[in-house]
Amino acid sequence: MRRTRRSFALVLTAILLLALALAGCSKPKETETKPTTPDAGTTQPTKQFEFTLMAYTRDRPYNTVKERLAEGIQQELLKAGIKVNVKALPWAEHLEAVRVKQEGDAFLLGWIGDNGDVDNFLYTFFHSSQTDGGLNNANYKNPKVDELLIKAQQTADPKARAEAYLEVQKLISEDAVWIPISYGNDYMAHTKKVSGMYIHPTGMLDLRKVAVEGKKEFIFGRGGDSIALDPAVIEDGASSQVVQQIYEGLYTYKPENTDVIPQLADGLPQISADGKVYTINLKKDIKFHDGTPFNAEAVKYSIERLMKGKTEEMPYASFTFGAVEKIEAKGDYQVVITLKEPVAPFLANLAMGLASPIVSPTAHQKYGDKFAENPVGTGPFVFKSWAKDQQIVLEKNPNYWNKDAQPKVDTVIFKVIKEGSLRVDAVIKGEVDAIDGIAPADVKRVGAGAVLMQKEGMNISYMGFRTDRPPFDNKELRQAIVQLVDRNAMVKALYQETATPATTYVPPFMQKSMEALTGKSGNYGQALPYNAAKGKELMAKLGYITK
Amino acid sequence: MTRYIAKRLLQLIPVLLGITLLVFLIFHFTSDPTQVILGLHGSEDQREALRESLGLNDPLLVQYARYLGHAVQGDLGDSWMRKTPVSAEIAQKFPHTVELTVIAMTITVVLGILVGVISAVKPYTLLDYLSMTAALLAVSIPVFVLGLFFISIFSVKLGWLPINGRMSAALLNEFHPPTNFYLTYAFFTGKWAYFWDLAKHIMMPAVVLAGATTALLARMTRATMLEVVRQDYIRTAKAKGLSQRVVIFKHALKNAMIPIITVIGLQFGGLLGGALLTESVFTWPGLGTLTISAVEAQDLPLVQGVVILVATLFVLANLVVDVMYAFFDPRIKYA
Repeated sequence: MRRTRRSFALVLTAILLLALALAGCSKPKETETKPTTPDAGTTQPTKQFEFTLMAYTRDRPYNTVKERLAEGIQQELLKAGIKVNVKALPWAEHLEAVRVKQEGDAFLLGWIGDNGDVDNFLYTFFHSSQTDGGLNNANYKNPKVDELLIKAQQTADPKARAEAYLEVQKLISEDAVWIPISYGNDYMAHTKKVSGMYIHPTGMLDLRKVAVEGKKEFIFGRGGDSIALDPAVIEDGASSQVVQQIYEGLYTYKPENTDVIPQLADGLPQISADGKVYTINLKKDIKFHDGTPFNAEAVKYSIERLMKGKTEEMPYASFTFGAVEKIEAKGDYQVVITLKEPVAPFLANLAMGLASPIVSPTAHQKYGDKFAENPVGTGPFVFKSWAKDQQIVLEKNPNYWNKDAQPKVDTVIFKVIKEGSLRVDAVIKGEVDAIDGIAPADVKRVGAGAVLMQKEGMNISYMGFRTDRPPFDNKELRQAIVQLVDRNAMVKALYQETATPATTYVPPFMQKSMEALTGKSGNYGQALPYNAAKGKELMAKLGYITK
Repeated sequence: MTRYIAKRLLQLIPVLLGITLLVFLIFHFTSDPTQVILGLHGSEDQREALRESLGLNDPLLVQYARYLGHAVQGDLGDSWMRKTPVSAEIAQKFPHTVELTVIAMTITVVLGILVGVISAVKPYTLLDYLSMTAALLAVSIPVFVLGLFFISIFSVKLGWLPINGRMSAALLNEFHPPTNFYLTYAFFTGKWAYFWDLAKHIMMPAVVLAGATTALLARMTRATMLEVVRQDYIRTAKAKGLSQRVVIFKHALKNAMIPIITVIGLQFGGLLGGALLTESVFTWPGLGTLTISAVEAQDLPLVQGVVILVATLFVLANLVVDVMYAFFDPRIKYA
């Protein structure tokens, strides 16, 4: 009895102590030196500048060090005597705090591109229409930027579009809306027996050319299972990896970049002069896995289900087909898609692995609610079985239409190995043939025992300023902060070789292709480079103490 | 006795009410389900439509009452992340966890009691010190460390056992059991090739899972046995000339059983809800892995379903333990 009482008292004390500690942590003392807009004519700096930075505690493809990124920025700015109060939250709470509750003076976020179009980066983040509920959480509004972004959306000419986007970057850079931080590298690894694998910037997985020496089976180890196998309802990588083997779209990307090429379509579309009507011819003699013929009706059916179905459960429905007014089938092998207004990135949307693939109408009707577990497309592999949270098995499609890209293995198995370091062990031991999701810490180890593949991903990690309110409604203040952060040194220290310091606001391969189109060079429109002296000078001018 | 059991079962109701309400409130105040379901892409209109269709615009109490109403009829709602019925998800994962738990608990009971008894019979000997130090270690090492340690030795270094998972990929592709009790099915249908592969896969997670509970049980058994063997009736039994084995296992152990079954029962009830870390380390497709992915995805219906299951199992395990007291100790009677 006495022992029970004693342990009870102990537990109670522990709880009390914990509560005390929590109370102590949760409410930082209000500091007297709150930043205010400086009075004009102040000559002697008197105030220390500080601001609140929202950070997230989850691993992201563009930021593998979680909240340590915020600490990196904190240290960089401390060198200039600026105090950063970091508020780090779990991912979902962070999104809500940043996007809905509009907390913090600045915030960390990142982006993984969807359709490989520059519009998907610049419009999404810098057009004023995206401030309310969208992703322009810097709340940035610049009529000139808006105008250029719309112009680029309405022009089909790639060169004119590239010119507009580079101009947009220049304006954003002058306005110092973001600190673009880094591009995360994508990694995969395979055993020495595997050939024909490559990393696509969009994360698209093409297994048609993959062969394994000595066997007809390919086992791919990954960190999580697919959630669903219906391209309409998914948005996660683990689901789309599998969906991309079973389904195909009208268009797809070149293996090395995001240039659009035909897949089920026969050639690129004819686009009307006003940019609204897309006439697309289809390839003939293609059948879905269930024998249903692929034709204009199937295309119409697949697209309309994303316009009229339960679209609230389809994350990409409005993104991909929101601009579509109607789609008509002209005969068996031609479809005409009419847009409400010209949207140049629409072609890139049709190449996306999510939402855009063409499904068998017969199977979709037959399986109804169970369609996400019984996928039927035209792709190189046919769905065979799914043991949830264990593995998904696909088999070679014996009737695959593309004679130049017949699959080389008979069976593909997507196997879940949750723990990252064990996934690396599995590929080194040859228990699986390839893996993805390699943590920076494992990069060296996997390279020693297997073949490491590496590529800059289609992503960006950034810090955004709330440009619509104090303190960062002041452009000079933003410019000062951007120049005070030594991004190259910080990125190197945080990620070693696994991320590349960012220069512009889009992934490097996009920047390269825009510069090639326009003849511009030198990271045109890049963010202000590190310049501590200039940054401090600006801070002093604004009346803040610097070190 | 029947009345007692019925009464105890009725007590489940307030427990479940309290627990579901708690989970409901925690999620309500910490996350916006539309962010969870739609991710970064949802427009405000889509979010609003989703809120309406999920009934999130209703007062909290109405939402909770609606959930309970459905739950009583066996409908735990649909998972937000997977869009499938929660009850189906749980039913699918439960057999995997049950097989792992049963094997782990078998190891625990046999090994834990044996080591405990031996230590108590020969206290303060080298054997006693060794086994109790081992037990202390096993209790203290976090399971994921132990799991990774085992894997690095037995799978990576020695290559005796598979690194991970429930079954080899190629075999699982051929094996189409009608139930998720894979091991049981393979055993009773005599599919020995599959059985052997399954056994190799279940070995390490079962041992890791059993580690801490075995140690706990051994220490508990030793402590109570030491108390019991000093009792007068043990001396009497010895004086009657009974063999050491009869004295220890019939007279002493049976009297030491009360605290031992308490530990066994509670551990069993807890483990049936899925061992979060062990399952995760070994990619075991059971309730533990399901719970972790549900919490990560902030999938409220799924988390709530698992919580209800775990709470129910725990209360039931408690009940079974109490009933067993009466079996082992005739002085205890429930009226």
